[in-house]
Amino acid sequence: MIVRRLALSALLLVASSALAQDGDTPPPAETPPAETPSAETPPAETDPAKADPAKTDEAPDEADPDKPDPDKPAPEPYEPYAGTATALAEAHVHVGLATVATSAGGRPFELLTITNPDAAEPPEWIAFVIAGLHGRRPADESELAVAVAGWLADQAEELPPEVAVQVLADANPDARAARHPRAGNDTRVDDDQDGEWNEDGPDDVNGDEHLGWMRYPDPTGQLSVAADEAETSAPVWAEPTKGKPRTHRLVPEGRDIDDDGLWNEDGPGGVDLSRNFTWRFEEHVPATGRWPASEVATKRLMDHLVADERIALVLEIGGADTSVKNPGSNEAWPKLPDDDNALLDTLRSLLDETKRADALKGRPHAPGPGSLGSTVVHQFGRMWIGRAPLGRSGAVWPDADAIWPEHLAIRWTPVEGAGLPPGAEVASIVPAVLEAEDEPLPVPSAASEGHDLAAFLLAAAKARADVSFTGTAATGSSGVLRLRTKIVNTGRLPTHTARGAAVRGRRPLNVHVVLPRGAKLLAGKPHVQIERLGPGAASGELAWVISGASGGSVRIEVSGPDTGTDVLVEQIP
Amino acid sequence: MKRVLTVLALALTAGAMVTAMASAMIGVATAQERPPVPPWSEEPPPRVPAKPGWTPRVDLRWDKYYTLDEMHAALREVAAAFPELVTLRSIGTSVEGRDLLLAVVNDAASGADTEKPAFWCDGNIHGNEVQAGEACLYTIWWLCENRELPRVKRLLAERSLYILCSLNPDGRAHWFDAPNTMHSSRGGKRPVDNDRDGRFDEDPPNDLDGDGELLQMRVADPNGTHKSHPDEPRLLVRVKPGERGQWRLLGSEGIDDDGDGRINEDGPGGYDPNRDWPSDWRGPAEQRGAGPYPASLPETQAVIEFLVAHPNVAGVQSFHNTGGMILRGPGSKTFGNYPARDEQVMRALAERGEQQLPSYRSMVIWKDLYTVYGGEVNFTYEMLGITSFTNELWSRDLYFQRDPKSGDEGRIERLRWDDEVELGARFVAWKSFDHPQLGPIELGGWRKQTGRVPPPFLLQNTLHRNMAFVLYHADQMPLVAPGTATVNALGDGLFEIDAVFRNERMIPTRTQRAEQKRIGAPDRARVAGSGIEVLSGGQVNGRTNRVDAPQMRRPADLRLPRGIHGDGAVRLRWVVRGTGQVTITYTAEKGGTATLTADVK
Repeated sequence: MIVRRLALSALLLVASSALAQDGDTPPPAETPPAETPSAETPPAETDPAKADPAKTDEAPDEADPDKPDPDKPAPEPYEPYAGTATALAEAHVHVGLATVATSAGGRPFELLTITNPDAAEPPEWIAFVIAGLHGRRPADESELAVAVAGWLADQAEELPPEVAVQVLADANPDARAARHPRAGNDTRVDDDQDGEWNEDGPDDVNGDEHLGWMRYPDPTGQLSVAADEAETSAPVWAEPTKGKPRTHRLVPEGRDIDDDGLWNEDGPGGVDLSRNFTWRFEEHVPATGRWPASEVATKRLMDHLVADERIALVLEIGGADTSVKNPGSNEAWPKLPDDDNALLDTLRSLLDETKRADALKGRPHAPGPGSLGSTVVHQFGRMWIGRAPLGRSGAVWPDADAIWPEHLAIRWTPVEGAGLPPGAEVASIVPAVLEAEDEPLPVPSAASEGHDLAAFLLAAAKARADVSFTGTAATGSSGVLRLRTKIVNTGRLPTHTARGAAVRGRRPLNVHVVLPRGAKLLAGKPHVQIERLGPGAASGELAWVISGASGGSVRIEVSGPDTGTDVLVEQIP
Repeated sequence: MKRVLTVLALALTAGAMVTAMASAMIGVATAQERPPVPPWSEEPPPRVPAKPGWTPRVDLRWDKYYTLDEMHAALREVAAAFPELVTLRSIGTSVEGRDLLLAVVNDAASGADTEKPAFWCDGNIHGNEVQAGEACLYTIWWLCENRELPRVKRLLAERSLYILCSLNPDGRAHWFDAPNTMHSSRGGKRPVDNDRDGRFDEDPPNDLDGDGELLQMRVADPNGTHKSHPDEPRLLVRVKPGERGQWRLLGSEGIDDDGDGRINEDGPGGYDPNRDWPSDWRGPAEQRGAGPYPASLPETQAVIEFLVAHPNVAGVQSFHNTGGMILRGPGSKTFGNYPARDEQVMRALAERGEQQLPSYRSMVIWKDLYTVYGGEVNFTYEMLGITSFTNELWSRDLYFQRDPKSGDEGRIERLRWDDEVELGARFVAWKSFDHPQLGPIELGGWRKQTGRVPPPFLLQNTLHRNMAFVLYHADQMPLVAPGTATVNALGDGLFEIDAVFRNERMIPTRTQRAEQKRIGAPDRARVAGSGIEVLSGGQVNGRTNRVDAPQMRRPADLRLPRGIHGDGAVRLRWVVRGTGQVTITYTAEKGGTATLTADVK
């Protein structure tokens, strides 16, 4: 019962996120960011002592991945899941756990790294999974990310040895640790810019142990309440031009603690990390942060992405969704180059190839201003795909349907007292619905969806760009080598996104000629850069004439940020 | 009457007709309270003491450029000689661990620096733009040495100054200590993979002949792209169609250190600290020189933290070189225009600067120079709501002090200046050199200490004039002063208290930008007195003499987000019940505090 109550609270608080978009909240002014030095990412742990020989027995039934593993605890999506990542790392020798950053509240960002158990060398290509940036959303994002990690850990033998998957399941630990579910971190934000911080947050007015909603009569409000409204019903959003006049204002449950005529206008909210990234950051909006990357967590996450050029693909489990089809473009998500749209199509086709029929529905939703997705794609020029968990009541946030699921009924109970507006009523969940213990909540099967996303990552890893030499011809005689070749990408994914190549966001393919001692490059460039090779594409012809050091070996090396190094060796005649 | 007209004239200068009318009205009422020393703008400019035999307490030279160590030593010397005026503190360290040494200039006897409206001044954010550092050092030194001048005394009593001589100490140190061109060592020392080959800073320029200079390289080539100018063989000009070349240019002095076939393509650093400020910021995908996010550099971060922690900063000056410009934002067209009242004030300040700085022009960054996203003064105005300028020190107009020639003629004139006035100190004649990779070439060209920096004998002129602009700007920061307090009995035990507070200077207590974006704290006016119950309070509309929008909650503590306009005043009115003495306090984050008292009876 408690779990379900929390679940509903969380759903209600999703609504508060949606409302915060209404423009009721006054603009910004936050405390200055508190810079916390970050720990460098230690290498993934591979302590063999952690190996668990019984582990294979715990693997779910491969033949029926839909069937939940009875040995795994049933998902409790809205309970704190702290420890899960640790448990996963402890259970698998090939799963490392490291602290990649520290939050404003001093909490660790725990990064799981999953590799093939047989991998001997450091990975060349990394997929980065991140979830839970927006802390006020139900914790299904983080739960799903852990499920992805769990599935990958169980199937790690299928990961190519030169690949790793990093999973940051809880990208906003401050929000998760807060007493009230909320969007932001532990930074103080003066939401109403009155010089005081967090002085008027929500309260449990009716003492039912959850923070719900409150309404009061207001002819400028968002709700339309009919005089003959049923005792329990879903709220109706006002549409004055369609016969639904504005009658009530909807606010989070609470008192006007600071006596300023506003309810809950400056609660503990912090900065919303999912809006604190750099691309088209919204300036002077309280929740987005004082400026782009004002939060130490944002900086450290960006540092992580910048510093590790092997991170080729970011899968973000959050509000934005590009996994079904292209969302429309907007200022924060401008139109992509055609080649990058084709790339997204390829990624979606990889998802289609791996998912069970009808398992991955959803609605496209473009990344917003200051989002990780926009920043990764448009500033860094890397591959990114967004995925909104299905469990979000089948809808994409923010959406009224998601706030008020049809099968839930609300009963409004009058409340009065100091700091409450006249005519205030607090919403409570109709007991009859709560007590229907057998009726499953619309919580998704994170295990099932996680399986599909894990399979997608495996497929993407196998489809990654793979560069090698082709059309090589080595001729010559008496100490002179005439060498020509091309570089080809035989993968299903490009070596670079078109955007990345256009903005020089990543290191290009670098081709270096390494000569044996005594040899001389008579013609041809010692260093060639290739900005991008699409799937199946080859470079123009590269040619060199080399003399001296007869019998010595000439090495041509090609390397990219996430392709490793391929080497061609030819002997000087 | 003369005073009243003066007030009117000042207000008209500020350009706001409504303000002018209000000021005039209030001027009649409050002329008695004007301070004995009128604002800066009404006085003749200050003069350096010229009495014979005057020796400064700290004997610094102003015909030389200071290395970073020399500059820090000079700062310590000044601070030691004037402990009552200067304190030094490191507000952070650079990429390579050098101190960001801030001088706090303040007459501590008249109040703490944080209690006064403060001025921020920095220089040398670009490491090679060295005289920007001297401009800061000179300002500190000159204020101390001339502390007894009445205007200086008043300024230091009313204001504090935060002066950071070098915002890029790594760049400055490297520019002096290593061979450089006049343009190199602009950024800092965080390694950047400029040529994107996976290696960092692996192919810098090299001083091949060991003469301490980074010169230009050329090689004789009958099919080359350049030829010697017919009138001036030292000057190379591009050949036109139909002409034969003599030379091929090979760039800055150096070798191919990393064997990739290119020379000097990945030198030290490779970013621009003046693209690292968090307003209207764009990343490297859209602007060269930007880091992955704003405030990515420790130097930038340290200054931002200081400014955020010092909301009393009400004026900002950043010194750069070169071109003779007094620059203000916006940095980009897409940002849009600055609010009209702020633009008027900044333009008025810059126009005075044009008079103080002959050959300098008042300019808007994106419109008159080029687009800068995430520049420092854009940040300080747009995010912090502070009037802000960048001066580009030194201009080629100042060589022969007449209209300079452009193109090749201008370049020949530069050579002539070097020959005739600096006696050949700056140009290195082309000379043969056997390049280890390219074979026989020639080296020659300008040394680093020219072009962008004044010849040393003209340095003090640049420094003093720019300091004058800083002091003028600092003096025009808002300054709240008490006006009058009057009490009217309304009957039934009710009284009406009217209080007038003035802003004595051109810059408003709250810029329009701060008001619009709710930056910083609004001004506050508080009435307090035992036995007094405050029933209503608000600002009086000067035209109707009525409180149009009373503040219904906490009327004793009025919030005034618009503040007081430049050279303007506000009239506040409270209705109270009870009698006794009241204290009325007006506080402006950037304009200081003023107090009035009144007997309610």
